Amino acid sequence: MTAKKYVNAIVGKIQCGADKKQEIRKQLTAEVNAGLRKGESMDEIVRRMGPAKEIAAGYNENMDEQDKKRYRRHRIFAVIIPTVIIVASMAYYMIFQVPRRGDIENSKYFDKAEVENAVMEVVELLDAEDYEGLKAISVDEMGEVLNAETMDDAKEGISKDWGKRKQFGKVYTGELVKGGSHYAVGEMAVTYENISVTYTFSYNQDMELAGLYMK
Amino acid sequence: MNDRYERQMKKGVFDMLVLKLLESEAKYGYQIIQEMRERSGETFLLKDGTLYPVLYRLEEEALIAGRWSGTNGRQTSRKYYEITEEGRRALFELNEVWKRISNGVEKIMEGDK
Repeated sequence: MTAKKYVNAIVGKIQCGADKKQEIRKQLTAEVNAGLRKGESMDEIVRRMGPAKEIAAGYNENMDEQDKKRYRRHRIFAVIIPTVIIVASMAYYMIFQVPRRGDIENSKYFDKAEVENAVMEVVELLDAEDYEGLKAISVDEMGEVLNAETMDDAKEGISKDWGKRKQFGKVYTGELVKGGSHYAVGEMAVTYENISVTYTFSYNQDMELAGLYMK
Repeated sequence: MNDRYERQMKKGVFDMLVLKLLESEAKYGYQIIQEMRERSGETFLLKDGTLYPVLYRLEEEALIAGRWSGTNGRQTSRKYYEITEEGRRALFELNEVWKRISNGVEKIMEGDK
């Protein structure tokens, strides 16, 4: 785990406004970097400071109600709504604006098994919170939503605690055509300990992730 | 012994101890943890992640004030904390409350003797 990932994992779970998160992030980063300069490994630093969830829980316990209210407002207006709008727009665009839909088995551009594997890969990366890995297989525009803070808030908007993944469902695939471009669409319900989530992903002809929707 | 009891008891005195450790001079987080461990005879072994949220709250309550040190060559900038006047008043009150409580507890615990 990198210093950035550790600090992001903590700050992403703290319920306060953006300006206070910035200050906390600065402090935590300084402490982690001080440890690294002394020759500590990240494992040693995490053992000394504590797991990210515990530290975030400590901060949340010490937040006053005003901070938490500001956080909730911020989440709704600055994060969840734009995130849902971005991903819903892309999914809507992909699914409802296209003039033609087809069976992927008849596609000249996509292989059904490859799309099925790609869907599972994205879910695995999302569950592992590997946003750099996701960005690497996505179109550039997806970079705006593929980060810890946005995805954590989007996930919390569905449910606070998903629990561990228990089972992949069946992947349903299709092909969409819009303005001469072809897209593969994959949909899969995934069962977690506390919730079931349906993912819809779309891929361009280069099999880059071009759309992400979850409910 | 159940760790939870110990944790709960210690939690009640953290604010007072942190303010006490900052009474004489400004310190940064790691210094507070080290001094708390040494001066308590290893009774208080805090993780950094436990201390920082407490420092955050005490600063929000204006009982302590934080300031960043400048970088000095290769040294990292650190956040130092110092007690405020309001913090000194709170420390005095907390100490008075602590004496009253520990006195009362001692009377009960030794009551059958």
